[in-house]
Amino acid sequence: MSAEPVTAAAWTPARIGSRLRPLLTPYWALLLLFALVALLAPLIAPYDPIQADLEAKLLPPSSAHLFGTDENGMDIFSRVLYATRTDLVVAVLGVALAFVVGVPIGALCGYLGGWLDELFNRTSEIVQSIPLFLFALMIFAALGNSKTILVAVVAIVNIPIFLKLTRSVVQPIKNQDYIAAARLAGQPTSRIVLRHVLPNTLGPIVSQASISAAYAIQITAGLAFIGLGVELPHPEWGSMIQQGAPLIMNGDWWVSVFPGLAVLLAVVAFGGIGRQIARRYDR
Amino acid sequence: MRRGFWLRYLGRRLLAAVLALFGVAVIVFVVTRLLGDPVELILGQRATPEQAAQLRAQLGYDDPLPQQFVRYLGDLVQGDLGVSNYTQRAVTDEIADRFPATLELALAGMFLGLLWTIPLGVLAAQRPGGWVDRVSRAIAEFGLAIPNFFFGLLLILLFAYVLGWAPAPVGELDIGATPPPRATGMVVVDALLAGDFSTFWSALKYLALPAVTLAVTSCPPILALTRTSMITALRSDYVRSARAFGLPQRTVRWYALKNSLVPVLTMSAMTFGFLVGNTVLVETVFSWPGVGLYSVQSMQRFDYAPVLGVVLLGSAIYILAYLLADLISMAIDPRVREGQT
Amino acid sequence: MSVAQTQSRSVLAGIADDPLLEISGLVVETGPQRRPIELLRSIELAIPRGARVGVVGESGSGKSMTASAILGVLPDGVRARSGTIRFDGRDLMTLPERELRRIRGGEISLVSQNAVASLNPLMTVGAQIAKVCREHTGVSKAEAWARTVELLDALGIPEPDVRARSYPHHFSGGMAQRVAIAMALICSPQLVIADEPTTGLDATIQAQVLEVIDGSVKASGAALLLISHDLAVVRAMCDIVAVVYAGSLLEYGPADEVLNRPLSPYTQGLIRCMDPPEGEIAFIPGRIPEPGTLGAGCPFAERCEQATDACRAQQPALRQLRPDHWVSCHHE
Repeated sequence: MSAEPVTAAAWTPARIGSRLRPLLTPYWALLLLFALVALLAPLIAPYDPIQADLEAKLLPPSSAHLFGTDENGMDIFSRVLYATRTDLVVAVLGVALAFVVGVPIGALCGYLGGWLDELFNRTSEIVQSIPLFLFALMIFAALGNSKTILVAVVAIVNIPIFLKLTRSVVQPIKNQDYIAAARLAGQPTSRIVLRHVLPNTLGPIVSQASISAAYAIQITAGLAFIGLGVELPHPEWGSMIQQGAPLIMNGDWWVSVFPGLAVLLAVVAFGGIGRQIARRYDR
Repeated sequence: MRRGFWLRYLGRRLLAAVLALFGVAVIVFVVTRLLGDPVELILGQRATPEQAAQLRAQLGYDDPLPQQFVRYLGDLVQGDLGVSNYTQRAVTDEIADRFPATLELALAGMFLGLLWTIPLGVLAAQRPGGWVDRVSRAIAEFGLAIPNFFFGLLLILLFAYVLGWAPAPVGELDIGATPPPRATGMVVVDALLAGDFSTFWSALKYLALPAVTLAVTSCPPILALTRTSMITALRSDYVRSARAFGLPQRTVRWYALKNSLVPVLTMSAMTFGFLVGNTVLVETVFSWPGVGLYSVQSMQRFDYAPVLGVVLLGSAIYILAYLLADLISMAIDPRVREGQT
Repeated sequence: MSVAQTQSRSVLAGIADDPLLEISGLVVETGPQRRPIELLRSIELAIPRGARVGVVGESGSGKSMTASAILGVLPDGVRARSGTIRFDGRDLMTLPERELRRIRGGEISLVSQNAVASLNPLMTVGAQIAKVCREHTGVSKAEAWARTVELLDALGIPEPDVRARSYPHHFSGGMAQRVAIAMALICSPQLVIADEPTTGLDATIQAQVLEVIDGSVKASGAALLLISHDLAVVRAMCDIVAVVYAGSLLEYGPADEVLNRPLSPYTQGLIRCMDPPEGEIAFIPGRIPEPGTLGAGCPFAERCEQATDACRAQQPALRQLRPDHWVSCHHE
């Protein structure tokens, strides 16, 4: 990280510009592609994703159906495109929610220390002792099976991660001179945290956000694979993979493979960006 | 004095583990009683209001919460995880039946995982930036990025369907095959113990693909850590010194590896703990009759008590794995041992 | 002797009959092959058998690199481009790795600066020393252990059989250095290289460690190459002094000669720093140049009060201005 402290006021256009320049890697291109697909799915998709056509069941990939069709005759290419919206939105929303909850609490914990810190730290540790998927199953069992719960699960699972990360990044900073100066000037804690502490710790946190989004996509697809969080016949990568699973041994590979590749590429994109950001801040 | 010290340390760590498990139990309680409706959990969503009210009174869910909590803890301590709505058997028994299969899978996955990550990590460290390094890192990135259930499906597609080397994913053995007499509950082990080599071989073939899936998708962090630790070790003063004293290459490498082992074995223990709790998806893909598949099946049957039981079991194992990791680092590194006093 | 062999003798070889170690024209560099950065520029050195040679110079002058070069354990990316290192008649630069491994620890050994860091933290010190012993002498485990304990005892470590079973981090400062010295002496080498053996230790401990080195090396009859930035240490311990600056040898000769009648302005400066005139703090202005930034002239020219254009233009050759006293300087 740069040696000088950064305050919120220092986000000049020049600074933002210099941060934007490394965006020319393949990971960002991939992410852009996914974002565009999510936005423009209705325009790009050749077929209605939930239009069944039993005459066209299980057709292998062809010029008419780029990714083939599934058991209901639905065009897989269109479904993969539309599913981008679902999976991406759930992942991004879940991570954003976790960010908004976890980061401020983590910052406060790291800054204030004491019993608050102990409490949240212990709770995070205990929540993280529960294996992820089992935890998700439990939440779905208790609260019902819906997309909202799915977003909630993604969020809950990531809150401890952001909390602990923010805390660990804030702790070394709180004793620095410019923070002491702000405190002496009588600034309230919340202001200090928001305007002085957080801007200097954003690097690793943003990196983690991207990596969490990558895992969130995996989790979403995984939960959908076992039937949680989806509303059939709404296209979603995980449930599409699940539909194709029994067909593998019949040789109808395309039903699972294409949505699976979509998940893989999305995870690679988000993960790559996260690592790239992390490398910048490791200097 | 040393014996006493070890016992005290072990005692302290076990206490910490028990407290953590207690915390998990609290969370399960909160989620199911406060956030959810436990009666719904038991009866499923098709219960009528009268049934619900009756069961509620019968099971004591009308009682004040603290009382419920104490009862709940009491049950847990006695190993009572409730009853499966589907089979009316005790959840503890159902889980006990299926847990060995998960354990077998996790152990096999871990074994294969260490087999590919540690040697590659060591080799990659000896020539950072070289082709071994780059290839192994690419494999690691791929393994982490690809969803494990999808990777499993790809393996099935390639090895079972296309090549025919592996059997179809129907579980631990052929449908209709007689399992070996139950000793440990792990089919491969039991077959070996019974001297039944054809079943042993068959079981091994069924175990192969799911174990490889776990090994490739869960163990990449071990590769990265081995590589980093070895690089640090190889650049250290004591390695330079060992070379300066004319010790042979293999001794020098062993010095470096032994010093890398602490973080690597620690992470391996934690990965194992993680594996055991997260076999849900892989078991589903391969129809592997472990607790992961059981929890998914139970969800689909709206039979929630088993799910909670598996949650508690999975957490317990995860917590114990952390404890194990600590003990390992104490056993290997004298500096850690003494840091405790 | 063939022409090539005579030409590879160091110009300093005249200091003794058949020196144990001779370094001639050693160039050590790093960086890309085409534009290398020189770390050692044509170093010369001679160590007579059983003598104590001190190599003195500021941090960054290349002293430790010389030691690494002798042992053939230069760090990754650093290579010896040319020169000869004759040890007991053999050129170490041309020996196969197998032979070198036998010599390392067996005939030439090293005492590093940070003893605890140079020991494997996961092995007991006794095990490590015994391992070195067995590697080079092939004796049994029991015998190696016995020798280790005996040596630790001789070096003044109390309860040697108990301490031998301790781990490196249990030893502090002076005791740790004794362990390092034990490892260096266990195979009775002909040459012991001590690289800043007392740097970082408390003043009282420093004196103790030097005494231990003094006594044990004398007892074993080995030659000593003592590397230090502290002229006082070198003065106390060594018969012959070599002054090194920025990868080049500037002066070499008997300690008495070099320290009392220094010929090089740099040496003069160092001596002034060590023993400043009454009431003054002496220092040599400027700082040692970074590797790769040197021109063709004398490396000390920038900081030398007596520097002339000739000094900056060409590096002076090593000349024997007095009997057994060489200097690299354009001035008399």
